[in-house]
Order: sequence, then C-alpha cells, then structure tokens
Amino acid sequence: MEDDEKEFMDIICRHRDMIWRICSTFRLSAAWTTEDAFHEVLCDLWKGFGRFNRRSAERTWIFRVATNTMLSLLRKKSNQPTTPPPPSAEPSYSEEEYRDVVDMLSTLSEPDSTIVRAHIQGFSYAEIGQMTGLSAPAVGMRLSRCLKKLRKLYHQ
Amino acid sequence: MEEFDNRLSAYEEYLKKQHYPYSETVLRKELRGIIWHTPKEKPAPMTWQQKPRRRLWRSIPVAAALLALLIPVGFLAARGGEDVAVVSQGGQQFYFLCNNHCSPEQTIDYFNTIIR
Repeated sequence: MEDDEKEFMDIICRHRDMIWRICSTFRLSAAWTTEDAFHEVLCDLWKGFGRFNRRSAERTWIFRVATNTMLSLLRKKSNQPTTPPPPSAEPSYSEEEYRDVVDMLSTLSEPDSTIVRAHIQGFSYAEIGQMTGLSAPAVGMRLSRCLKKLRKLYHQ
Repeated sequence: MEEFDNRLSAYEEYLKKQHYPYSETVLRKELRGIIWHTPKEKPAPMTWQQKPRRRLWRSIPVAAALLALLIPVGFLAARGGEDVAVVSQGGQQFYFLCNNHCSPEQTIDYFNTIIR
C-alpha cells in the first residue's frame, strides 16, 4: 500500500467520529441515511487528499470538505444515493429528538450554518476563521447574530 | 431565550456522544474500497514560488539575449571612446577600432577620401 493511502486511512480513522457527527447535523431527504452521506464525504476527502497541503490542521480540512460535501448534497437532495445502503446498516441513534434544532440550522444561509455547525462541533473562533476566511472577532460577531436569529425562530 | 440556549447545549452534548457505529476494521475496509474505486484528483498546480527551477530555466534565454547585446557595447565602451571611429554610410553605422598608428580622425578621413 502506498504511503499516502496509509496516511489517509490513519487520518480518517482518527477523525471518524467527527465526520459522523458532521454528517448527522444535516437532514437530507429520506433516501439518504447518515451512512450514505458519510460514504460521500469519505469519497470527497480521498479525491481532495492530493490537494491537502498540511498547512491547515487535519480536523479543519476535514470539517471544511465534509461541510461542503453535505451542503452540495443538500442542494440536490432530491437525488437518489449513488450506492444503496448495505443491508447491515441500521441507525444507531435517533435524531428525532433534536430534529427541530437540525431543521433550524438549515434555515440559515450556508456560510452562517457552517459557522454554527463548527461552533457546535467544538471548533474555536480562530479555527472557524481559518475555514471561512474571517477573523476571530468577526466569527464571534457573526455567530452571536446567528444565535440571536435562531433564538427568535425557536420562540416563534 | 434561555430555553433555546439550553436546547442547543443539550444538542451539543448529544452530538459529543455520537460515534461512528462500526469498528475501525470495517471503516478501513470501506476506505480501501473507496481508494480502489475513486480516482484521486491531481494536486493543485504549483506556484512560481514553488518552482524555482522552472523559473530559472525560463530566465536563461532572456539572460543570453541581454548578454549578447551588452558584450559588444561594453567592449566598445571599455575601449574608451577615442579609440573608436564611427562612420555612417547608407543608413548604417560602422565602428572602427583604432590602434596606435591611426587616430579616429585619421580613420574617418581615410574612409571618407579613399573608400567612399
């Protein structure tokens, strides 16, 4: 096995939980399971691995690719998944309880929802700034604006 | 307002507890399949800063042209000027290097009276 393939697999194994969590914060059409989305993200990560220049942190790169993949899936969510889910795939958790939160996130614009999702995943303002090209104070300001909007939406 | 913040915090806590539901062995198997079937995109094209050799290679013809231009001019200039006779003939300029036996003025006279 080539070195970069081994390195790629090691990186993914280290961050598999985070990728799974990112996939689960998006609600796609009923045809898509979190597992399908996870598979799509892995494909995109592998395709882009040659472009990963190691200047940014692994988790920042993964978050960015995963979020972009999920947003593009969301844009064409009427499409059927390219691969059928394996027969053993069973949802390991129920997101029904938090569906309202997930739905509210999808009402934000793509850049805003990315910032909130990154915040929920535990990224610092500086890290979110690296992903979005904003300064850390700008991230803080934008995040507080988004949360204010979500609070309003929640109480409507 | 606090209600929403509590809900969001609960969601964050809930997310933290989510894990990839299969073992690392299953994941590696899936990754092997992806690597096998999915062509990797080519790396991003290198910038000039990342290509010092190519940059040097491109500058060689420019440097050669500059040298070809500068060497004769420099040579003539190094001669000091008074040792060179410049004569115009038919829109062209001729440069004569003069030695100890013949000054530039004599060279020009010679050209004007005998050759012309």
